[in-house]
Amino acid sequence: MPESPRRTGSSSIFTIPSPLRQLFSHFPLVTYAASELPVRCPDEESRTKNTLHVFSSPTDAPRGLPSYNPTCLKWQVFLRLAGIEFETVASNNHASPTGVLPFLLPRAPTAAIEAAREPEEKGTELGRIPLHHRAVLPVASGKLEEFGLSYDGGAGGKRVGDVEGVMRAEVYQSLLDTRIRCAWLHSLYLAPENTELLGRLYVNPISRSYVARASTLHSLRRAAEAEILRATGTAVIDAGAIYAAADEAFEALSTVLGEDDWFFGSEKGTDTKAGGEGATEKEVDPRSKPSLFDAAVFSYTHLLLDGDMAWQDRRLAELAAQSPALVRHRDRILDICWSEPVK
Amino acid sequence: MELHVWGQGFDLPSIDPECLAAITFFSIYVKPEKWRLVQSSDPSVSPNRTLPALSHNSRWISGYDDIIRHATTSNDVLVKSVPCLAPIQKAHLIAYTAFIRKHGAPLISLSLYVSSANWVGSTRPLYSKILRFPLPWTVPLFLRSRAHSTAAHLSLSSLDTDYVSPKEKDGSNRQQPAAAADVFNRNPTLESLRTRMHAVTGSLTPDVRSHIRLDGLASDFYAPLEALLRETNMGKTFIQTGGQPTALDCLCYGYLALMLFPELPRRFLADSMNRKHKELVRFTVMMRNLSRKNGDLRVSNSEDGMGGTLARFMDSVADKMPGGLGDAWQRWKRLAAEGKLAGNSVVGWEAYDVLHLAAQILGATLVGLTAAAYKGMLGLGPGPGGHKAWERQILGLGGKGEAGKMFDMAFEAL
Repeated sequence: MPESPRRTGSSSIFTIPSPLRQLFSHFPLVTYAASELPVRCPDEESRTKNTLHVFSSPTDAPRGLPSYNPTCLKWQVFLRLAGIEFETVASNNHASPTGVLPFLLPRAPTAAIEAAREPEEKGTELGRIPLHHRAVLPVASGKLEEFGLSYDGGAGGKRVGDVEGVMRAEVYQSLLDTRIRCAWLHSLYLAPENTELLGRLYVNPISRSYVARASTLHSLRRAAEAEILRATGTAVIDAGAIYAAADEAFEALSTVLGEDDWFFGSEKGTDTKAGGEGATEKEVDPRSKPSLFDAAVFSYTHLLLDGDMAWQDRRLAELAAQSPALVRHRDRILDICWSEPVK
Repeated sequence: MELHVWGQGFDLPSIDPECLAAITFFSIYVKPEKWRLVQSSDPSVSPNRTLPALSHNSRWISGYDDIIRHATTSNDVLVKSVPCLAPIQKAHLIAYTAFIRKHGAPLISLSLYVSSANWVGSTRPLYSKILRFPLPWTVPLFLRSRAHSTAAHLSLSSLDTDYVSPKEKDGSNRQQPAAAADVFNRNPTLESLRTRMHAVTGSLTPDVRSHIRLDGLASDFYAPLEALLRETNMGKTFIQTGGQPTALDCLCYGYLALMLFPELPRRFLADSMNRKHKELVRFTVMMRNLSRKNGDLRVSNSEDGMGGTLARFMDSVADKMPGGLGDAWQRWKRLAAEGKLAGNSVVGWEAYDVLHLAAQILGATLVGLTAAAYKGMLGLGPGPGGHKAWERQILGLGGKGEAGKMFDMAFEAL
């Protein structure tokens, strides 16, 4: 039997052809020295503060202005309501260890905390490393609620209520997660009139190249389409139905808020229990505390009602503006979090 | 009125929760002589390609919410009036509707479609009965892949033993997302505790672990519903209306019935409900009796001819065309349907779509050519004889015109 040419060692599929081998043997052509860290990198001073990384413009972020991304804004507002001091940093998804914004870099422990550490902890191998030399682990958005609730607001006790276990809040949260989110995605990403706004917020900061921008815009739109189709469970994106559903959702939220200051204030039963265990003497009306749910509602209503957003297709913005209760709710939070007039 | 739905199964008139909900509402509230059920199992009957769909005076309405709205506002079709709701009750109805869809649909996807045991043992054989030959070859696979994407965020795809996630295809580890999240949880002082916990979770088989998670997920869905049931009307209906079911009760029944009644090889949803949420079991059984009170449904099968079935089969094959063509075809169909809904006759293609498709075809051609060139450099022909034949082809091309010359030049350069 004649031997097939494949058997011979020189012509296996894994052998690199000699022209290619010669070409690659020239590399690396030049080796550059390592470049310095970018100026924006956190220095020693900024490590003494909590920093929240959000979608924002480089001019808005240092002033702590509201983020233009609903999820980021929700956490930004929640942390502000909780009374936590932090700086906002304009960032993007690639910067986040989990791939999603926001995330919070807690401040490095100060010398006082270092001194107060338990001696036996210092005995361990890990304990010998000073705390401020250890890498500070970022807090992902999933853990931010815990982070915010664990913060003691000082004189007035905790400033935010806990909606964990309030079933009605969980149920109404699905209104925000499905109906309002779908309408938001449609309005910002798919409505052709809002292309300019979408470009200003998410596309233009990425690159100056026309091709890169067109490609980013295209993939953002495709992702939004897929997300809407998945959330509505339909085969077709029916804009009329999406806005009608969002209208119903805003109406339901407005009804359930009614004349109250905060959502589900009367249902935070857990709050009084916690007060009984602790040393808090005075009975605080639980309705006087906002919660994560309020921040979530605000994150949509504020961005829809905010004049700076420059919506061209105003369908969703008008739906949000229809409810006086939601407009009042938005103004109330804006007053607390950004008491000095924005801009 | 004709109500088009997915076909029957599990001793229920439809195996889709939304369709089942619509059927329940109609059998309780709509006069039997005014409507009939068509088990067409074909979403393309309606303009926005969704079931359930209602055809009334040659007008199409699809989606549960719109169908109920249409039925309750039409003249002279209702047996009795649907209860009027106070504003806060209406708000609850809307919120709980959204809640049921958001949390119920992924659970049903997991139980009926994603779980290999249930899919092979129950759901797939059912579709073979519901759909006409040769549709059972393609449509159930499409439904299953959609169910996968519905339930993807629960990261329980391990229930499907044949499923390979895109990440694993690349050869990376299944545990990767969990490991990335773990970076955040790591706290040096808790390290030892964590190792001990890992030892506990590590000793559990993947089956047991996913069972624990499933039980938790099911309870997260059942508990708020049961709480609402207890709150109003002593567990009879979800909203205080004097025992009259509302659109919410029917929708909830649609989902709960498909969790409770099917006889599946893996009955995790039913077990969890039976064990911990007796009120919901009572409610579901009560609703089933109520919907059967008005006698049998008037069912007619779809009168699609063989031609229609074949066209649908070819269409579903086209959806799976490789190299991005299938996706482009699906997208074209969707855009055409959306255009019709909005009243435009022109399909809303973006220039980018066309460019994208052209680039894909060009890219595939280039990859092919490069592979051929690489193979040529190695001298890896199909064999000594075949190699000659291949050279002849190139020479032949050279004699035929511009394109051939270009090929020749390209190979000489190499």
